[in-house]
Amino acid sequence: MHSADELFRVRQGLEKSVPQKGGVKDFMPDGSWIQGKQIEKFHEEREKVLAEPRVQKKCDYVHGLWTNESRLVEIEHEGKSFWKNMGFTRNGRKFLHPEEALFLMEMNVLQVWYNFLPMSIEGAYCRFLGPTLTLEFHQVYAHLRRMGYVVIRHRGKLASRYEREIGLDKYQKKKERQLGDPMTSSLLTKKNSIEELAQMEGLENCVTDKMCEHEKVAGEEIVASENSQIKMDCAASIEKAHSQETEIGGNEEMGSSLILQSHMNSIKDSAECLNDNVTSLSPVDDNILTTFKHSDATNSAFSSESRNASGFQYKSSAWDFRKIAFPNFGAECGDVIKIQRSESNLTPGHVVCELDCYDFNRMAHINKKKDKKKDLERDRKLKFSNNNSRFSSYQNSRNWSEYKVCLYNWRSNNWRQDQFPHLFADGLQPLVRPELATSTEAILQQLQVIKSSTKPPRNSKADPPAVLPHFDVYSPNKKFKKTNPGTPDFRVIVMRLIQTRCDESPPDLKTISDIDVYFDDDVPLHCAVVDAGTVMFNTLSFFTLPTEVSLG
Amino acid sequence: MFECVTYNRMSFDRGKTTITLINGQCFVWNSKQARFLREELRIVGTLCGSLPRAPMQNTHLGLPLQLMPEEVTLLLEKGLAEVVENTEDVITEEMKLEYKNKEKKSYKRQVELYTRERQEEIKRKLPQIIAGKKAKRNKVLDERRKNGEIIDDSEFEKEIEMTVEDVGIPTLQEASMLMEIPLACDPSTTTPVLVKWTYPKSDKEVLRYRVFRDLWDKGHYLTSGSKFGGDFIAYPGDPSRFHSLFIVVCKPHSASISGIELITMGRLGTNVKKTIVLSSVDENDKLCYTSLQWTGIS
Repeated sequence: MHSADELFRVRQGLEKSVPQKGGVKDFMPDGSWIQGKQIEKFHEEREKVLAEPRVQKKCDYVHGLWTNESRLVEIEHEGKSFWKNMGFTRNGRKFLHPEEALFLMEMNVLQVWYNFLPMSIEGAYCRFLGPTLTLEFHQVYAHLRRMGYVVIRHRGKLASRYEREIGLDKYQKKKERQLGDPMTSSLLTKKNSIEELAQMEGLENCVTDKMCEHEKVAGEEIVASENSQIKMDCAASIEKAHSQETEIGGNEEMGSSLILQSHMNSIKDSAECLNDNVTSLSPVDDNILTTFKHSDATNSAFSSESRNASGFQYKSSAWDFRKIAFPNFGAECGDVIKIQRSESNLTPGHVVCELDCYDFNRMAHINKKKDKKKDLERDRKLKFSNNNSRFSSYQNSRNWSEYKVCLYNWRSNNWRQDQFPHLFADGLQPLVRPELATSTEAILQQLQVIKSSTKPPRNSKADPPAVLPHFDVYSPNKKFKKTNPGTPDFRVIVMRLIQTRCDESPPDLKTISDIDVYFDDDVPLHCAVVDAGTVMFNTLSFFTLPTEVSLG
Repeated sequence: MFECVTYNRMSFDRGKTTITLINGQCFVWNSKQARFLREELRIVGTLCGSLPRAPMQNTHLGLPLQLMPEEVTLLLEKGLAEVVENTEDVITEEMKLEYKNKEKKSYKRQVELYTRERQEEIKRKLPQIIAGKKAKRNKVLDERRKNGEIIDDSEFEKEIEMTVEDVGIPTLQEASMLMEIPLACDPSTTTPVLVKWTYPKSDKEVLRYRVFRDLWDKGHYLTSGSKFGGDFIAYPGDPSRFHSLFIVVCKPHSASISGIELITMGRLGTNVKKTIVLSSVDENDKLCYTSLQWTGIS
């Protein structure tokens, strides 16, 4: 510890200048006096600068307490600047992670006390660093913080792609906010704090969360797949529930969670009007029934509207859509559309249907917008472009994917194959088929003998990878909120470089690919390599090489 | 792993550098020792803490100085350093009291220093203070004159007698007292325990150390080579003053090097204007160096 005199002297003449870095270097030592003098001067200045103590007024220091059991530093009053980006609250008490505390000590902002004595930086190194916090971890953290970034421990996947698209990632889930920092719950060995919270929330939230999970999963499944097949099956399943034919095991292609979801909804809705439905369910539904009953008991206002915003709701409808005939305005059946008067009286009260069949002139009623000249041109072109293919494939397919497949098949089978019979007769056939040579890119694609591996498809339901990044890093931002940081600007994984040992190697391609697939966003992953005190950053990112099309 | 031997604290005054082992890495916490290592012993190391006077930047870092395991082995072999681990003493009430006394003493001294400093400042600025007081008084007199009072002009000219003692100096509050975050552990509350250092162990480590020791003996300054893709970087003189000349790559003598690897190393060296030195230990236990330079024949 420095004496008061020394502290005073330092405080008085506080220099802020940073010593020069090198300057112009020489190539070889020539033993000259001037070189020796320069080196000596450098060393003197360096020793002086390194020996300067960290001095601050007592009232300007933030007081922190270190506990070995929790391995956290607790503070009573937050400082002026750092609390916005660092630390977390638990049970009304404010805590700092050890790497944050060590960094703040080096910044001369925080004074940590242990056993009623102040801790030195060396002491902090000895006590804070350990198996949970390695030196490399801290060095990368400090390096990024000194550059000005906001660095927090990796929090896992906060929002799926769907949630980001609909803008739901701005709203922190209630569960996460209550538990505070999710990553530290494992570090706090004081179990009662978490148990208390769990009890406070009660079972009610657990049940709601379970159902939220189901709905979330269901919602993602719905949006992720473009196949209308599922939608139709859902409608069918709802109707099934209505008609009390429950066969959960049968409809495997959808996944049981979806069925659960729709059943729960249908149960709820049908229970409102027809109580019999609930009782006549098969035994497999009993557990759903019990959870529903339980939640119903705890949550009186348990309507489908009060549930969470995310997730896709299936409200079973009173209408039987198979019986209601909607006119097909898109059909190519001429310019006149005939509409039959439907059986049930669907028209509002004042409208009187006189005729049994109404004829509408398509051109007069559809698309009242004035056709621009170029639109007409375009329509004309489209009308004649794929004239031959339309008749059967279009009418037989139920969606665009099927139509495209039909088209491809039709093209490859019908069009001009008889023009080059000698080429396509043998086993050895050309790679490019004339009918498929629609553009240069299409030709190049067909010529590709070696298929390049594409990035693995993004799967929003992927399991967390074996290796997770260590930090989420954000650019300095006034709007940064600790409780809801949002998507990071980049993620960092820390790696120690030991050239003589092979136990720690850089993350291989599979790991990076797994991480990319799991997070499903365009946040780059940086690998921080630490070797004997120096930190170096590397990035591995996926990109697909574009097809070089020089002609056509 | 490491054997621990309790050691007398007095031995550290003998001039040996203290190296602290924390989390598997070695650190030096004293700036004088750090300078001695670099100036006299050509051991460079890497600074890895933040600099107190400019903490928010990464170009100039401060203590502690992190040493490579090869550097530590060399210092131990030469008997110039000791590797210790800090163990915590049991904190007694006596120690807490001692600390409180120290703090109180420091506070008293700071009050003295503060008072003295303020006094000197006042002494320097006394004429200004007097002038200020005079102006104030004259202003008041002016106001009174405006209100109708008749004041003699000589009142304005009257000098104010003031001495340094007349000016009030507020006492330094305890909350405003200066404190520090010490860098190194307090020797009165921690006991350093000697640690048995067992580097190098594996063949690769042994080779690395042999090469390091040999190059150091030849007078080079060596630092970690990961920035340039090698094992070490060799400087002809102090790294602050000179560019490095060699990138040292350690390879076992019997290991084969593919053509691609040679080209990679050659190109790397050329791009950074350094020579790649392939180092190995041959069958006769002698060190052999092969330098690699990419040249073109045009």
